[in-house]
Amino acid sequence: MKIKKSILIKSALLFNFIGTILFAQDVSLSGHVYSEATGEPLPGANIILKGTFLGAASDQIGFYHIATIPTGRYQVEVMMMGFQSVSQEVRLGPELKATLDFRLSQKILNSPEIVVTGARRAMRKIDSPVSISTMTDDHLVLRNPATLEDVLPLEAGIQILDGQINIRGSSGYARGAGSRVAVLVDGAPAISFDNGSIYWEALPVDNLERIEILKGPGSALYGSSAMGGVVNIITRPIPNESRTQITLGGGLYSKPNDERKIYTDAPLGSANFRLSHSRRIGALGVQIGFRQNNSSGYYQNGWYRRSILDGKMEYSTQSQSNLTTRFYYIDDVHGSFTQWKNPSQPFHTPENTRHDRIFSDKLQWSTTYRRIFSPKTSMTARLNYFYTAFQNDLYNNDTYSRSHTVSGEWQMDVRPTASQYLTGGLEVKLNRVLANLWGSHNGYDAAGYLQDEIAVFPRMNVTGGLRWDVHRVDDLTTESQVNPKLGLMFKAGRNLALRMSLGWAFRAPVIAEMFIDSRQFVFEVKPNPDLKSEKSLAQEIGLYWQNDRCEVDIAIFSAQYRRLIEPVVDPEDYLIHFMNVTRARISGTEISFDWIMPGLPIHNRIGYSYIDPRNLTENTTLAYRFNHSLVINEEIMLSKEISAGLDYRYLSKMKVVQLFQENPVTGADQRVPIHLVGGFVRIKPTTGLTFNLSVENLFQYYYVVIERNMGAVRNVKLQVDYRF
Amino acid sequence: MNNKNILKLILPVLFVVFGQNCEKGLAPIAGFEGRISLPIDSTTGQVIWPDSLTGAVVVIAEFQYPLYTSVDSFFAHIVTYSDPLDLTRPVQDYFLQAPPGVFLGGIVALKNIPIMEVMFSPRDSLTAHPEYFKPLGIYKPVGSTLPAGTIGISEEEITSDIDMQVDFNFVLPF
Repeated sequence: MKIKKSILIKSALLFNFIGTILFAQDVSLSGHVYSEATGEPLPGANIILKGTFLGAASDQIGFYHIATIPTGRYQVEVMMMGFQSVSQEVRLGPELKATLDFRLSQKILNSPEIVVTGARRAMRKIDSPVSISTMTDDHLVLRNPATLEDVLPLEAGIQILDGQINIRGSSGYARGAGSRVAVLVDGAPAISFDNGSIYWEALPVDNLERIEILKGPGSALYGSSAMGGVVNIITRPIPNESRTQITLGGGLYSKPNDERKIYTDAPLGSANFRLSHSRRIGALGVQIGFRQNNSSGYYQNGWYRRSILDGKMEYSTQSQSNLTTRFYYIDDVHGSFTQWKNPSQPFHTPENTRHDRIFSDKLQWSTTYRRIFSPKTSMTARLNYFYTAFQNDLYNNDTYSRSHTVSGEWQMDVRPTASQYLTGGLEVKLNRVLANLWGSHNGYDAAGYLQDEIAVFPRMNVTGGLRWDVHRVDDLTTESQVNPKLGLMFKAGRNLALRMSLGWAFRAPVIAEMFIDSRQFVFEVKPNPDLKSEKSLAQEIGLYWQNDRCEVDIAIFSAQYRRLIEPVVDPEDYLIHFMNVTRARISGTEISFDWIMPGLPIHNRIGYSYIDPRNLTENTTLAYRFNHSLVINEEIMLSKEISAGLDYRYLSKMKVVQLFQENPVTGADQRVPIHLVGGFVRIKPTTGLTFNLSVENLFQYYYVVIERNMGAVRNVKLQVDYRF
Repeated sequence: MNNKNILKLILPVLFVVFGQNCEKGLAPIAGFEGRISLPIDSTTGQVIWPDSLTGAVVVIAEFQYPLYTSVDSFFAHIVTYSDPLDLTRPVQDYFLQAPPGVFLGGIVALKNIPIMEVMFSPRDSLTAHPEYFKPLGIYKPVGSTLPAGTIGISEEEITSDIDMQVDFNFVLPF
């Protein structure tokens, strides 16, 4: 027994000795980050040691601390949105604690410099080999959105057609089914397994830091659904100070100018309320919120009632690891509106559908664990559960679907040398759907990916990547996909980057496309379990230039699609099936400018996009795409407390639709170019109190996007936000 | 120049520029509307509808006076037709968008053609096939000396109360 005790003591001493040897050379770096103009501390600045995974964020008093740094020479870079980045070389010697303070000068143009979506890692926007655009929280809040569907189309090249998002014309329209754009919340996928739809009401609009939009194929990193791009919604970190927020809002829809179009004398509008609280208790940060959104809608049966509960928890055990858990639950009931009663009463629903409604609830729960093993190695693991359910209570059916997806992800990031960055990972998704609309099914997806970024020259980065996906539904054929990508970024100057990318992508058919068996009005949709994945190959060359008051992005792109899945009317039986029918090519160009006028406090954003969407099989134009789109946002900062602005959105006339064609003799089913003007005013009279007044469709422009569905009328909204 | 003056200067300019770009959007429409009654089984209250007929639509044909000499020539001059009627509802409202003018309007059944083909075919592609149609009724102007079937449509106006009844034994008056 004595011997054993002795061995234990000796072992403990030995480990202690080894530990001392191993970590004896580690030092820490700490300091403060201040505003150069005001001298005030800056919370939320990111301080990183370039070429490593080591870093920290400054706290409420601007203090940061990076522990366990091996001795050596480092480039310390400090970045913060709205401020010029600074970097400084530091030599960390044998002294155990080093101190370094930074003073940041304010940038005139307040746009995020760091993006995380293009390469599944944090990188400067200028270094990205693919098109990435960003929307900040400010941009969103000013416009009082009920869902992100209201604001994402203010970005160049993005349209949402009755809930179906298109990035550069990727998706077209299939009643929301089978999105070709992946949506992530803090990196966790949020697309339902059953119909591959994005439920906009199930995506957060509160406490967002920014939204990143990858405009191009993302399958080499994100798999199926990312064929046309990725929208990554990034929530704000929990602040260090305790914070409570109360938001009250309301909106009013204008009456149409023609008596016949008015379906009720009652005022039409919306109301919303939100209460949230966040605080930190030691290393633990907690945030919880509740939101109630009610609306009558602007058309008959366009009403909804939504109750939302959301929460987030962050736990940092030490600067090298942190655990984040986030959940979002929504209980929703809304009316159903498929198409108007007739064109003279476009806001009326047909009489037999007047009491149609849909009950639904959705839950997303994701937990992410990040750990830095060494300055050169880090790991991210994520567990995600996504549940969506709906129950139709329609005049002609009471179908339902409940979809569960449990997914696990594991990603390693390694920097073998200062000029190389390796990213690799594994993903597994288990899916289950219980439904009478398309039957009950099980499936799984598994994937592995690897990406290597190398600075082949000091000004040139080359990125190569590959992802292997396996997709299986029930006992049907298992599909396997390999999607490579190649990217090149050349820094032609300090502020100018040229990029080129080539990427293969795919989208596996969703349950709805394979198994739907439904009839609505005269449309009868039948299953097609033989559907195969659709594939694409996309190329892009682009230019990105920025300085402290201006940002310019120009892209020329082209994507070829094979076996595009589309709903097709079978000429034999006139039933609709989803089929792999089309070879297509979408090519185009996109230009966006973002700048602050010299000498004037005016922020201008202009985005123009042109696409040529060709159906190569039939040599026609692809349906539900706009050739030209233009977005202009003008924001004037009148004072520190008041800002105001205007939005203008133009979409050229949609050339081709699939169902109701224009009748040139009678004028029925006419489509027009779309011109929409919006405006907003923000007043911050005292600290913590904000008034946001906004208006959409200011000039009450009448238009349809999807056949026989009138676009939204003028909507004036006021929101009061108080934080304490 | 302070910021408020900048606003006074720039906002109206932007407003006018943006406003100028906004045309009216969808133009006001013309057409007619009314109520259709379908025959019902007096015991069940359900619509009686033969399986041989795939659907029914409201049609308008070019107005001719003297009236058409044959049913086929009437069908050959169809201008447009409505969405299919709901064959489960004994009484229902309908609407048909049409250009301004005078037309002959009635109800026709569809035979030997799937209803979906009628929905999505160009309106003029079916007029060459009178065999697809069977007349079921015609609008009868109340208190008017106008010929049966006459419907007048004014520009940007909706003519109301064009009510019609489905009759499987109906014969066009020409």
